[in-house]
Amino acid sequence: MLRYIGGSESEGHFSLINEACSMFAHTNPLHLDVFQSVGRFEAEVVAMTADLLGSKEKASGGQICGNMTSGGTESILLAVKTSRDYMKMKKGITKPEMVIAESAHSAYDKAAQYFNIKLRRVPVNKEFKADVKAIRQHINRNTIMIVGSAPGFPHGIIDPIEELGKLADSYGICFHVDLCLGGFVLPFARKLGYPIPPFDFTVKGVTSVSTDVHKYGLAPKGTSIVLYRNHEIRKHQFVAVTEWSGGLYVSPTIAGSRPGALIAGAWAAMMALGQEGYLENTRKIMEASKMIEKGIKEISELFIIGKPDMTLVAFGSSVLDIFEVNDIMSGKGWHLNALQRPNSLHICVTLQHVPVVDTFLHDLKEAVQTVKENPGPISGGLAPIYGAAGKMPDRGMVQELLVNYMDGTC
Amino acid sequence: MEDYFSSFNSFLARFRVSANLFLSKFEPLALLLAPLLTLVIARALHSLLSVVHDRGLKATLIGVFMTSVKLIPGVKSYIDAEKQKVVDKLQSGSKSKREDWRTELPTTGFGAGIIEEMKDAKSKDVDWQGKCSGTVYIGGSESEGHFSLINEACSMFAHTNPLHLDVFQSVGRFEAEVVAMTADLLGSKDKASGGQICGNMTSGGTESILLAVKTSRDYMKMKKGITKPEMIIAESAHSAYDKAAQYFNIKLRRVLVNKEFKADVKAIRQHINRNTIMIVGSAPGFPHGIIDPIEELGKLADSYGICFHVDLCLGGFVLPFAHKLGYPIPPFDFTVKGVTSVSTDVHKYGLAPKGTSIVLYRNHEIRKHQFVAVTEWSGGLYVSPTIAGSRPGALIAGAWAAMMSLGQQGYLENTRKIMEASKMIEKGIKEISELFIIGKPDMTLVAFGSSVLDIFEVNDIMSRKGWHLNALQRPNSLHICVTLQHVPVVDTFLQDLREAVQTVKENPGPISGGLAPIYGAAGKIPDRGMVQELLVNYMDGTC
Repeated sequence: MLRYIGGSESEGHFSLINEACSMFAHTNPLHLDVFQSVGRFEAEVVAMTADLLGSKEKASGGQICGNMTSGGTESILLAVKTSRDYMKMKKGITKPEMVIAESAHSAYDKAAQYFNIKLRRVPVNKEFKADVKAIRQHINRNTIMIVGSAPGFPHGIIDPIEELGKLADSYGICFHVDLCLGGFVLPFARKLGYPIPPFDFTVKGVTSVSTDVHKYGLAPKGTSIVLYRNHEIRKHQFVAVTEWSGGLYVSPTIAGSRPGALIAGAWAAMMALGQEGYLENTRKIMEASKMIEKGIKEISELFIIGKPDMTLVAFGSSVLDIFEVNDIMSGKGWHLNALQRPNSLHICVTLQHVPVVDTFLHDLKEAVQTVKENPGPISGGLAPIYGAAGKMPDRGMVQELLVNYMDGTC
Repeated sequence: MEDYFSSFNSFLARFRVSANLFLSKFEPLALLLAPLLTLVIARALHSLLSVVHDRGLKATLIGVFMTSVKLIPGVKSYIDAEKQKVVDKLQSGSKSKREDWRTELPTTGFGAGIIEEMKDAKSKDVDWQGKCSGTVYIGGSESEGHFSLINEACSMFAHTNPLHLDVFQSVGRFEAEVVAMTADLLGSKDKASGGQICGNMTSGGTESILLAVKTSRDYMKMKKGITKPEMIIAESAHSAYDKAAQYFNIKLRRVLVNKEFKADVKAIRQHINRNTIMIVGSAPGFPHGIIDPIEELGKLADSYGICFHVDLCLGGFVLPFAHKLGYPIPPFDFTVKGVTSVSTDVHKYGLAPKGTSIVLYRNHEIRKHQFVAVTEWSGGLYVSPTIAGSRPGALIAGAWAAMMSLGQQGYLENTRKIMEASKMIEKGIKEISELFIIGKPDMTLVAFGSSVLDIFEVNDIMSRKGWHLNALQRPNSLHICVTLQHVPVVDTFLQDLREAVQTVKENPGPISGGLAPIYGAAGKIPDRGMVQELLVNYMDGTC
């Protein structure tokens, strides 16, 4: 899941974007008058991506605008901050709240903590999708926004975006669609004929979208995009400072200075691939991920979580400790993601996996067999920790454990 | 005791009788409504006073005036039209260039051929070598020498992401070493620092500052229970503190500098109240390159038990070496008592790739408030140290390569060159009688103004000559942030500056297409809210 670009890091597409980055390593879009090329690259990356996500469709309103950011987390932080300030102006809300599904990314928690917003995480429904009824019940006069993921990171399942859009629209609140994973896959998967429900700006009620170029966009790490339905909303993203003796200052995103190299790399990636390149890549990864899904279904001890819409396949087990399976797979060199509620694992399929689907399934079958024959944690494994943390009722203690772990790591 | 009790009782009874007698003169309804009305008026008065308290009496009066004036028909549309004119002027010409920019992915990709397109775009960029204040801190051409080295380092690690430390252990080590080596430059191993200095790499000075403020806010909430946080900074402190205040709901107080253009410790002390969480000192400040009285500010913060952040974004990789070279540098780092956090940019004088900075804290207890732990997500247990989730390991590798290839001697040598170049520039400007230097620059920034000419007109002439200087306000002035790029062109700069001053002296008045009138006007508009709107509209039209 870690590397989305196929092939070795010293050839092909990687080589291309490295060359692009190096050519612009001296640039900084904070100084647009000096580095106009980078200003253009950035504007084109944003416009091309917005087009993929319905900006030119009549239903979108024709006012879609946005900016490049350093990653999915920044895109999400900005969307939340902008929605908070927009709703403060629009409805005078001073004690903002936001409602999200349990499957929505941890970056929304970060935003809530940073920007003093009360966060409500609502359990998903039986299909592991955002539960629209339950979300509606949590909306009150302080709610500024709701979130839908397309797809969600844990299980690769697309939330009911249209219903959530109607809900947000009826209450006059913001609705953010998290396309960090899906932005560069779903438009092409839909073209290829896969059953993809509506997910972009053509859906009524959507006020903002986040999408990572550095995932399936195959751009260098550190490139993402946040988009808004119109300029009126987006203006609340900007920070203007007039009382500094350093001069008049206005900043569009979180950072001040930014590495123009990464923007150049993202532009190069998108322009080098073109629509046909992305279509071909999407075809390969969707096929690989369907093969993996099929292979896992054939392992009787495992079950697939929900019905994956995209290239993530999450699986659990009711007869084995799935985290012990994870420990065996780690031993075999695989780095999978450990999930909770329910305890499960997932693989996020990328071009890197296309040639090794059979190896993966084979190793997984072996790992399951090993755990079945020798149940119990392996020495040095992480299963007991994951298992225990899931069971602790005092969530504050789990938070402290995580903070102490991080404090000791860096 | 009994006597006391019974006499108290009879006092109560007498009070009751006389009070009822007095109140029976009034209508019962009036007695009910009076307190309610008083409450309503008190609330309105309280809101008004808190607005005035927040924004200042002047700003409130201006706000009220502007709102009422805009109610007159025609006035609002006139003001909007004028605002749009200013915004259009600022964007002069850039809009028409945008019309032929791409708005959709090409159907067929360019493949490797895209590199040629990029070379073409790059060739159309202006000549920046040696001509920009700050901007590019590495010397020489961008395709050789040090640039080449860090590009190679970045490329080698372009596939890495420190979010996945188990997979990319090399990058984890690079990051830890960059942080430790920098902390050592800033006194972490000195006994006076306490031996607990810790920190993280970030994407830039703004992120380092945002994190320091967020961490201080949460630390002071735990330590003193402050729920309406305020922070005090000098007028010269970076705009990133305003950004932090807006993001994190903190009231910001910008205090005027003193006659030496340094942070005014007395004035800052006057603004400290029970909601203050932190104060800030810059070493040096961006506008004028002057170091604030860090030791005094440290004592102040320590005496109040609040956080004190030292902004070493510019100074971190120069001051330790300038100090070694014998320049008079006052104390500025963790050895100063009271300092709780520091920010320093590796991508300025550290000569690392853009996108690398560091935030450091006095101890782990404070830093823990920087981390965000999430336990209720079905995606798993998650803990994040800084603002970003995924991060480009390439830049971390580039920063490590930069620091390791230069070493202490490399930085010492570079510092010697840029300090000398900046002293030469300072001397050269002093010789231009129409100009004056702002304060006494401690480092490689030289700010200058004029009492006889419009300095922004000088800026417009310098722009024509290819120079990109920074325009400052309060007072209106310009500055050049001296880097290795300027070392070979000091004489050219001074020559061009002398010529520009002469030109403006002989032909005073704005040049067509110049920005002087706009900078001048924005400085004079009393309604700061309108200036903010102008800036926002300008940005909205640019991207």
